[in-house]
Amino acid sequence: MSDSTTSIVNIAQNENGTVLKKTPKWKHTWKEYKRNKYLFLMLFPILVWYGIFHYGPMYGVQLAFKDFSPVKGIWGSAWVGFEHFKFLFYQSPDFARIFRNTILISLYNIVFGFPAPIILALMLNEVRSKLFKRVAQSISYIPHFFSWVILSGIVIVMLSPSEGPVNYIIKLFGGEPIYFLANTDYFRPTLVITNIWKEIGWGTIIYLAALSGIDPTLYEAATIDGANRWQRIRNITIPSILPVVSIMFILSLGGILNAGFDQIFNLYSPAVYEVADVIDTYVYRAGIQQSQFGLTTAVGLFKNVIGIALVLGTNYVMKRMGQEGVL
Amino acid sequence: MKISIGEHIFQAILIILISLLCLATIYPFLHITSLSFSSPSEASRFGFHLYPKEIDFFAWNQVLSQTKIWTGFGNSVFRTVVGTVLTLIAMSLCAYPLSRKYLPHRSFYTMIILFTMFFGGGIIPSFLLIKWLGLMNDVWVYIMPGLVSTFSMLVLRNFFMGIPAELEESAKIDGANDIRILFTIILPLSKPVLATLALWSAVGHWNSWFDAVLYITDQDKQVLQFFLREIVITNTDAETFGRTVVGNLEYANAIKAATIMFAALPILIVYPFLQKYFVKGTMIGSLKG
Amino acid sequence: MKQWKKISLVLALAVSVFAAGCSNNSNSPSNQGAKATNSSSKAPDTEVAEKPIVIATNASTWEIPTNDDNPTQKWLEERYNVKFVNMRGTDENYKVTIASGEIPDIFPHNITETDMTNWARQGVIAQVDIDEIKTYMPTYTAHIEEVDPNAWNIGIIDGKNYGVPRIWLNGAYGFVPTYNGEWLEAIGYSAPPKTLEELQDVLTKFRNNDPDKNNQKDTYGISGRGKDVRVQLFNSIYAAYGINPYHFKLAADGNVTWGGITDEAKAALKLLNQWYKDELIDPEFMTDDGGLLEQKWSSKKIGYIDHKMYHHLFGALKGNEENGITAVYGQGIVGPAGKSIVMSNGPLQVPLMFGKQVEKDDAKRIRILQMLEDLATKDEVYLRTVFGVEGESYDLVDGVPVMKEEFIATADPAREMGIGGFYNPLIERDTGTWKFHFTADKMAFRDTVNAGLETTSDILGPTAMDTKGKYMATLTTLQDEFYIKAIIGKDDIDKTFEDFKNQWLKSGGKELLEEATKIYKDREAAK
Repeated sequence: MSDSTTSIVNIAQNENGTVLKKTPKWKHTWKEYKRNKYLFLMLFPILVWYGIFHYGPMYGVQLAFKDFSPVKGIWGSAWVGFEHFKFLFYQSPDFARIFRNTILISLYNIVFGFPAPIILALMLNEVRSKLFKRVAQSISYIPHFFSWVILSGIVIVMLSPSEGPVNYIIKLFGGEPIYFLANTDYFRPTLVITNIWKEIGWGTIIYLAALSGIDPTLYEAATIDGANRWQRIRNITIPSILPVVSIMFILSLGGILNAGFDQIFNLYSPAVYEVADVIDTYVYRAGIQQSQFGLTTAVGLFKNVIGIALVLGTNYVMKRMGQEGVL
Repeated sequence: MKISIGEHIFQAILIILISLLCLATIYPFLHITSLSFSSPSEASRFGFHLYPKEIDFFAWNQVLSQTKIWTGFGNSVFRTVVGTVLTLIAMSLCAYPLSRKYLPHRSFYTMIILFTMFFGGGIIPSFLLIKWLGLMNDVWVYIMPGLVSTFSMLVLRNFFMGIPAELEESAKIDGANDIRILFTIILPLSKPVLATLALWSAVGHWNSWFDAVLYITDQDKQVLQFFLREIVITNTDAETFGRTVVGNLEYANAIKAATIMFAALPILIVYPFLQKYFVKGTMIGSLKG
Repeated sequence: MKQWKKISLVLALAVSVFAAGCSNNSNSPSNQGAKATNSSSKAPDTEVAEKPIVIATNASTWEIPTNDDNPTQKWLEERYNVKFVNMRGTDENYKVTIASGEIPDIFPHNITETDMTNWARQGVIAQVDIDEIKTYMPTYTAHIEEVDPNAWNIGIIDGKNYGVPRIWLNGAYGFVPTYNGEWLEAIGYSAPPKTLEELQDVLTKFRNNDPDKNNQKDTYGISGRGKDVRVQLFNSIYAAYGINPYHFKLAADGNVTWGGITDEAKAALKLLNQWYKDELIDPEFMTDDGGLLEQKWSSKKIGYIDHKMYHHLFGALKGNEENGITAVYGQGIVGPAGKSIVMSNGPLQVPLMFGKQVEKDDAKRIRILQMLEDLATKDEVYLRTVFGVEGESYDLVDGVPVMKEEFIATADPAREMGIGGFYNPLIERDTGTWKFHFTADKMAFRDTVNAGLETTSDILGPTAMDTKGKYMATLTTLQDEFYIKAIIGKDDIDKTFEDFKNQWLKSGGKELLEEATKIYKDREAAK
């Protein structure tokens, strides 16, 4: 990422081979700021806001390394080093297991759940009937507004081996009913599919917004040139929404260690701990036996460190591929 | 324009597939609505709930008859409308400069903002900050702390980056400054994304409840979600809390359903009105001339 | 290299903010309240011997009064010469408020034992002398000790007492085996089963003999709370063996052991496994919670439940009637333990606690204790603070208060009046005033249904332990998984149980039992 101030200085040097009057860097920077003063006029108030509301409280991160006591406050509480992290990594029966479950469930959600709204958006984009499109959009995002506390009740009925319609259909085709929510083979796919059901409609909105920004004359020109539907999609539609897809993808990776606590918590049971117990669910159960704030801050910190590493990493890859990243 | 048979078949397949999806996604709406109109024995039945066998208005009566619901409704509307408008403005002011590649130290500023998406102090320091700022029990606590969503802002920034540079250049040649460019050229072209982000922000405000519980003590400043939650709890068996004046236990499920529907309906109704911003062709002619 | 510069700049910024922290602000609210009363110009037209004592209370996180200066508050203030500062903490935020330094004089009554222990050690809550409590709350403490002399144990941490003991009166009652009466009749039983063999027979017939007479084999004997409250799962069967897998119990050698690793538990698991194979148990029990069980009982899918206490059953009478079910209540099942036992949660509870500042303030502390004694045991005060004003909020019917219609329909009138747990944290905690919560038929129901039921409960009650904090989550996960697998699986339980037991002990169970035994022995010695 080139810095505009240094290049100017370099040019001043190289043009003649002799050193021109070398303007000090800070003076160049000041000139640059003045030149863009309106931009900074817009930016600085918001930076101040970030300073107050985000950096102000940031000292609270210490709690990850402290044993919090209300009487001593955050600053006065005793340091315990990595004790909370040690609890997380060594005390749980199998940290490898909860970590693996967390990563796998998140990965499945990304691999299957991330493209789903994009595909639906593309499909909706190809529908000719405006009315159908509008109605379908408004119906498809309904489950997003209900929390997993409520939706889990519906899912349980749907998937019930004795009463549910899904197994009814399975039985119709001659199969044995499957106890999805208690079956270690089926639980994770169930999580992923029900998550798609809940979020796919809502997820299309941003992509539809991006699609509506595409200049229709491009399509007209392509059609005249003889491109069929798939060629149009491949060469116009997809490249046009790639910037949005790219930023959504990078940012969603930041939350990779949040495997969806609400959903898992409301659907899981000991029968499927093996495949579904994730960091957050374990910490939730452990937290009841412990004082709060210390362990949860530590776990949050752990998740976020990994999250930002992933974001920066993916950002680098995306930029190499020619896409706009996050930095 | 001639539409081929192949195109018809393709449309038919699309519509069938999408309709199947819609059948699946509309079910929760029917289920919860049905529950909210159900009698106690109906509400406690295991299985499908498409429509109640007999309609019972008790649950809805419980929810709608309480004046505080409407105070909460008003506060939630205030919060959502004012909060969303201010958020859009703040995000635009932040995203536009960051979208200009020639901004000095651009990656530095982006980094310090991105950093806050991952690292934060937690509840206690935030609570202390709000106290120190004097925002406790003040309706502006609904709006100020959450003014900018970094995620949304970055999406907006990237969108701005995708707008052709020629538009900005020709405006600058005509003597416009950055602020004018933002408001007269960039934002009008960004309507679909702005509508999306407005929706995200509005939904966030509407459903928000934890900050209300944490910072607001005056009942007449409380939001809808707070009262809905209260209603659900009042009508649940609260033996553990030593309560004796318990509400209408048999209707607990129906009341829960009614509160959920009451909270969800306004948003479900609003979106179709926003769809007009998702019209194709906002960029037509932008490249010509 | 540029990238590093930027990142280190960011970190420097973060570190500098670290350094600029806010100092902890520990003005206790009662001090603020005191300042307020002192500075408010109250015309001293009456000779008041002493200034009213300011008490900052947050005794209930649910029944918070709508306004300050509500009728109940004023009534108490006049009567006891106090001034209340109402702290409006709810479950979500009171801990944050405490963490930020605002410590109430009276804590919420539903604190967990973990928080209590932490706060005791951190100096957040006040020590209170047991003898002093007995002096100022004689009736209350006498009543408590009648129900369970161990009531003081819970509040004693590191040898010191940290609050006014409380008893959950219903906790002393057990979980009542309940059968679908029509089904019992249909299979030829005129009375509920008494022994394990009889129960097995009943459940078998519930499954196979179509007791709901709909010509479909869609009924099961029993299900359970496999998803949410596993201590209640099949508790009546475990009780027949004399244990509960999630309770501490006294072993033959005088040490404390854990129900879940005993031989009795193993035997019970073998039986449950057999029952599962024979389809007596609903195969979906693993994902059933309280709500689903309710539905299954009402929809006549299962005929036997054991997860309800008398007051739940009393409340369900109307619903049962509407669904055409006559509930029949049985005694504890007699099994290898040799006698009829049912499980109970035990009456021991975390005590009512006070903020640290109360420790030094003798006048305030004593006034609080005096008030609590009256609130809990004096009829007039109890009625006024719990039920309100006769004629306005309730009517006395045969000596039992019946709330008026508008006070039941919604919570608002009660909140405006200020009645409830906020000013009376000892609702339903004293045997003397408990009578006000029972109509004649409810009391008759309670006594009939519970007659002859011998209960078993956790020997330690709600006790925070260091080892619990360290190991309990792990141990419970281990046990939950093993038990479910044992019941539904095909493995030889004799072998797998031993493996589980060893794993459990190795994963911190041994330390847990050691600490539990020590606590138990300390308590015994203190008697």
